[in-house]
Amino acid sequence: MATGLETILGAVTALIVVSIVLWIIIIYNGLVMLKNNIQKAWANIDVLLKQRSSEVPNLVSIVKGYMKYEKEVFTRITEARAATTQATSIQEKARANGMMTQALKSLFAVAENYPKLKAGENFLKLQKRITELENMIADRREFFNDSVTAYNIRIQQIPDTFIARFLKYEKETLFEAMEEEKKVVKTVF
Amino acid sequence: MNKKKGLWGVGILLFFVIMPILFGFRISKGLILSGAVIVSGLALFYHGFQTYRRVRLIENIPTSDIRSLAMGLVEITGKAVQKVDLKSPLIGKPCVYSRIEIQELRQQGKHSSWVTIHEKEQRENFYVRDATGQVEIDPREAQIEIPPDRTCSLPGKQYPKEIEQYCEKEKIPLHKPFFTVGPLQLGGNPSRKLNEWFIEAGDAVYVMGTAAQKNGAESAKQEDRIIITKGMHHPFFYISDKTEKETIKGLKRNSYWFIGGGAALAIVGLALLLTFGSV
Repeated sequence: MATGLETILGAVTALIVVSIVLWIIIIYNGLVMLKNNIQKAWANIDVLLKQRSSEVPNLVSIVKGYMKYEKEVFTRITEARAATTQATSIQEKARANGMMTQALKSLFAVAENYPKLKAGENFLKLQKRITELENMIADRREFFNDSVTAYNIRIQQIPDTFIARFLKYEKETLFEAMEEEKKVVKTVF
Repeated sequence: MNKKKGLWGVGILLFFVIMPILFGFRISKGLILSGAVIVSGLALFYHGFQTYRRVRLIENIPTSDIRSLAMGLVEITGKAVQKVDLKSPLIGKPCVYSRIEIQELRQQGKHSSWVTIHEKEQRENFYVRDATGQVEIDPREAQIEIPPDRTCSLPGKQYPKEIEQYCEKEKIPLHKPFFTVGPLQLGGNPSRKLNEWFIEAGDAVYVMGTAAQKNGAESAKQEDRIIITKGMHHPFFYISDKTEKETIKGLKRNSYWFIGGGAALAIVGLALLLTFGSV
């Protein structure tokens, strides 16, 4: 029969063991959640990229009639669309996104030379819609990068790193802006 | 809430039915006391871990821009904007949430304790606005954690004017003294204390909840389409007027206290049980 002191020591040990188990469960679940957050954040960007991509043919059909001699702009848009469709990895999609952003910037810049086109209701609507999508993509890219950073920090910190190694979690890549995106679009009047 | 009550029930049942059968204890006042201490300690201990889990959840989810909110569990910060015209109960400041509580010191046998004699809460939908847009919040099931904006004791001869007006409006008896000469008074004025909490319109708020599509919403405007509410998969819905850092710091501190305090209380309860059980 255990004495009172032994019983209390047993209870203390049991509480410590329960604490450690609960703590490990919380860390494990936290890491799993962080990993899933990245996938969810990426899926939320992907939806917007697809929405923007589906708006592009409408935009092209409106501007084509006015901008017959702006072959370079249309070529860039076609290339960017093709890259968006073919891209599978995050890096490829990030690159295609950069190309599309830059191509659309060029198109809107060149449209400045066509006052009739600029005044058209359909063009203005599409321009507004695409600009909204671009802003949302930028916000969600920032959110995605925050999620990745939080995850990358966590899997390198003690004690999370031990569980991350057990789960074979590795560092994730940020969705960085491509060099083309950073360039300023020159408008020729 | 029902789940929590169920857990408490199971704990109490285990303690008072199974323990005496297993260990041959007779149910006495001491056993009930030690049982209550152990169950409370374990409940606090568990609550501590629940709080710590919430800390990790807040740390894990980055803040979203309102303009590009995605469906699901989200964290936002911004300024509180009224949807419904609410006023704080005492001063009448425009607010998005308010709660008032009046307690009275009452004698119960040898002991005295504070009894709530009046409690009123106003929870109406409001907006949170950041630099990119605004979104509606349905705070009905939210855990709202804000420090009291006003705390005062009401033992004096006279109530502040706004409190007197409020008590009259809410038909709360003031129990004024029958007779007053200098510092002496006859009858009336039991010891009371008042707490008032509110989130003033324009105050910075922190919200973590589930972004969902409003029923039947077809508008292109974000504020007409999305609402933040308590989710089915993530039932954590938290509103505070502190910053994220302060919120994390406060919750972390609480979790450590609950875990440590709960464990200590459970051990004390066990020691009491052994003492009373061996008598």
